[in-house]
Amino acid sequence: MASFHITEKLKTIYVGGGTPSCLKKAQLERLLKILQPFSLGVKEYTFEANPESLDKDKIELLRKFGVNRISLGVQSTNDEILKSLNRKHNFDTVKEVVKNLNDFGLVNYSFDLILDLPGVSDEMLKEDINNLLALKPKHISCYSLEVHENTVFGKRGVKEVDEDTSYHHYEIVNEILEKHHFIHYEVSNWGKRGYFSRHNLVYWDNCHYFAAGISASSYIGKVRSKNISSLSEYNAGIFKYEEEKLVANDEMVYEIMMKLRTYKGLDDLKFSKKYGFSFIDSRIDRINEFMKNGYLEIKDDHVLVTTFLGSMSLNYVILNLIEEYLK
Amino acid sequence: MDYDKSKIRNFSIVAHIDHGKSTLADRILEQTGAVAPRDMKEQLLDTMDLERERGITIKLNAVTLSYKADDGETYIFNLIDTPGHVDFSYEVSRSLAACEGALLVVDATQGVEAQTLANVYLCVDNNLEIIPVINKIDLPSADVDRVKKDIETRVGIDCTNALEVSAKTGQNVHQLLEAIVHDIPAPGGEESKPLKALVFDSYYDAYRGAVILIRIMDGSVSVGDEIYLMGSKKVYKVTELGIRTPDEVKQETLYAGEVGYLCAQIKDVKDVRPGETVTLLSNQATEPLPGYKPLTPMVYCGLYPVDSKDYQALKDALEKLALNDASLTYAPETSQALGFGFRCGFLGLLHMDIIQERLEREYNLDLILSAPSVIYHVLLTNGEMMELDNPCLLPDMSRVKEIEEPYVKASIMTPSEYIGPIMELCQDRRGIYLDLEYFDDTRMIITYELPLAEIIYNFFDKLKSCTKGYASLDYEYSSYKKGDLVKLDILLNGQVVDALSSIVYRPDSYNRGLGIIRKIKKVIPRHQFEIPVQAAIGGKIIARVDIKAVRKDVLAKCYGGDITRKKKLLEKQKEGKKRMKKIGSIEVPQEAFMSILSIDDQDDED
Repeated sequence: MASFHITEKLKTIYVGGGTPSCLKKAQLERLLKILQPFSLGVKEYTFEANPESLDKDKIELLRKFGVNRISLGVQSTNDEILKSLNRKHNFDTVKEVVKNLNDFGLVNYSFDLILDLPGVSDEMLKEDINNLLALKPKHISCYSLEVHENTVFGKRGVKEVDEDTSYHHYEIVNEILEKHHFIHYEVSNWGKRGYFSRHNLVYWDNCHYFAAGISASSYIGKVRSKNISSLSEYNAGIFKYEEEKLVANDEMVYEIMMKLRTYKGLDDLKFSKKYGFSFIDSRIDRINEFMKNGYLEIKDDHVLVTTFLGSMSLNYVILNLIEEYLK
Repeated sequence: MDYDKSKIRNFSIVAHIDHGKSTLADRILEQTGAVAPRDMKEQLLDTMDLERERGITIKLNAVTLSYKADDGETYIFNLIDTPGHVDFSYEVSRSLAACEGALLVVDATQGVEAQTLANVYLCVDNNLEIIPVINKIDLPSADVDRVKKDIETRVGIDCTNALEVSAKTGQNVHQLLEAIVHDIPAPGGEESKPLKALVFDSYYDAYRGAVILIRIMDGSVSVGDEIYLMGSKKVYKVTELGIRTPDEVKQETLYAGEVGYLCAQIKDVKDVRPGETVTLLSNQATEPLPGYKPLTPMVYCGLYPVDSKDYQALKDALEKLALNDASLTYAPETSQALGFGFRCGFLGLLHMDIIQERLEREYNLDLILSAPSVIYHVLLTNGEMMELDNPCLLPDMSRVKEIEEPYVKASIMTPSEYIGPIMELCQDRRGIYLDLEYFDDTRMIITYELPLAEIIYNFFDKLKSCTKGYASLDYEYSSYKKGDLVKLDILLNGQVVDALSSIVYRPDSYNRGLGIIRKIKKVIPRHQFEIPVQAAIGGKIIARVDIKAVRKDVLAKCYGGDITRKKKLLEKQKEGKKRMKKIGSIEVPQEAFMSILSIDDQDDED
């Protein structure tokens, strides 16, 4: 971390991209101590955790070092399904962890849920969401199952659901969560007002971030870089960064691509100021077509936002909006 | 090299695909010492990359070799290669006509195939001495005795002296070379007669014009002679003569019995098609060599650049390819859906495939091919007959009296247990049963007359799948017959797409239409609006499916490290879009136009 020569004051810290909760208490303490100098005064300090590895002692320790947000990998509230996913926890474990978090005053917790799992009916999905809501989370992330060749599901021949089914599942989630005052503020994320992930919004606002660790990705200045992904080399102290130097339209492409992910959308006034032309005016025909078909909207005459359908079809929308800027 | 006709041996190798013809040719080249080992590439005679990749020979080639035989004499071998596919059977027959003998190569693990047989008949037609060669004897599954019996009973050639070789290891190739010397007769013909030379291949050279490969049947030809092409009736002056070893070695004169190349600043290979007779202007032969057939493409399709800016590049590329390929024809045409392109004629589907691949690979063009079609004879009510190679040009049916379509005589060789499914398939494809005969204890040859349009329409794939790959197919044009035919139109988003029109058998039209639109539904990506895909006959919709609008297409997780990946993914998707043709507001991939050929009957969704 020190090698980055971080001089700016950090606003958020996120420890994740793996499962830091599986560290033994002493290891965890060591990590927290390393991070301590950077964590003073941050607004959001998140740890990712798996339910089975987050015991009371660790929660106490995290609290002591200023961690104020937990992202919990619940995945499903159905014990049968959890078993089929080879998860070590069941829903009771989750309830226990949530109780402990509340006991220690760590009330800002988020749950991850996997959608489109084989064997999950609409009814089971609704039950899942309601089970989660009963535990009073401030934030929920839902990710559609991706089946890769070399995974257990891939080898079992599990197929990803078709796009209509997947859309339907997200619709169910969205409907229930909106009823409970959650805001669908990013493609896969719902949060109560004031509890959107500040850290993740950094990515989607196309702002800068530092990262440390194996495979960790940073965005500083005009360079996006990613650390080495081999564990043995990393352990041997070899830090090699794959770098992407942003040139020509890259920054603009990233900005459009990322900003359209969130409810805030792309502010065309700010865009014009930065890039010297109006994004909306430059492709008004295509935007009108997308508006007509229910994928995009323009708010306050100058902010381009996706509808729910648009956010679910964002690859298609972006590709057709900015095709000519892509290499 | 002194001219001694008695020491010349002109021969060809005939074999079924994969039976090892090209490998054997390589061994012969190696063992005659014509080619130094450092020049050896796998399958030397197949000069195009594409041929090498596909393991088949497309373009004919010839090579002159010198062989010092066990009797101490040096012999000149002219090895003439032949393409190994039914599309090119005319070319095969012309190159065989340049020979006195043929090596019949049969795979020791496979035995005789329908195509082997077809080639043997061509050899017999040309009075060739046939030397049976049983190849791949190094393989554990080789069954030499069975294959010998196979050849004897089916082909009717005595196999007592059949050669057993391994082209791969070179085993017994020396004996084969001796057999060529002893068993294949020296060429006949007389030097004193007027020149008669058979053209069996040509290729284009930017500096010399068409380089034609010839076999001198009678007389002789020298540099500076004025020649007369008896088929195309053109006159040229010989600028260069030579032999290929395979490097070119110039000669002043070529004599009866010899094989070599001739240049005469011939600008168009179409003037010197295989089968053409070359004679001298001043001392003409009384009649041409037999067997010349004018050019007859069997399959037509439209070729269009995906990007209309590439039209000129496509034109240039076709021009260049046609320089070397007398069988390829092309003429400009316009499609409402696809813009400016060319109507191209091919010998068959393989030929079409090859041209498409070469255009894409060697000329870096992205192409759309419209659905292939045969040539229909359309008899109009006013008594005129029109030759229709493009279904969308079929006049209104009120002006059409009847439509005739080309039929072929198809011979299918198969193990007898598959006769049932094959007959079912042929019956299904409007076949007219002609004959069924036993070939030996296990295999049969069944002969049908079939509409060529049905052969084009994935017949070969179906045949292979209903016989576990054991059946082989050979066909030749037979005649035009009246058919109950209609034009099937396909509509995308309410608009007829002319390039998707096809002419189909009326009783099959509903199933065909449904099959096509289902396939199109599968290959056209979703758009931001629903797209109806309809099949219509005479303006009446007979079937419809809908391509739904995009609903979910998003990278769910897009955090720190996913961002660069996401951009790369978009760039890749953009690349994919480039290969699609925009028709109205719809992006249509290449496969959609081939859907007419490859629809799957088993489809059972909506």
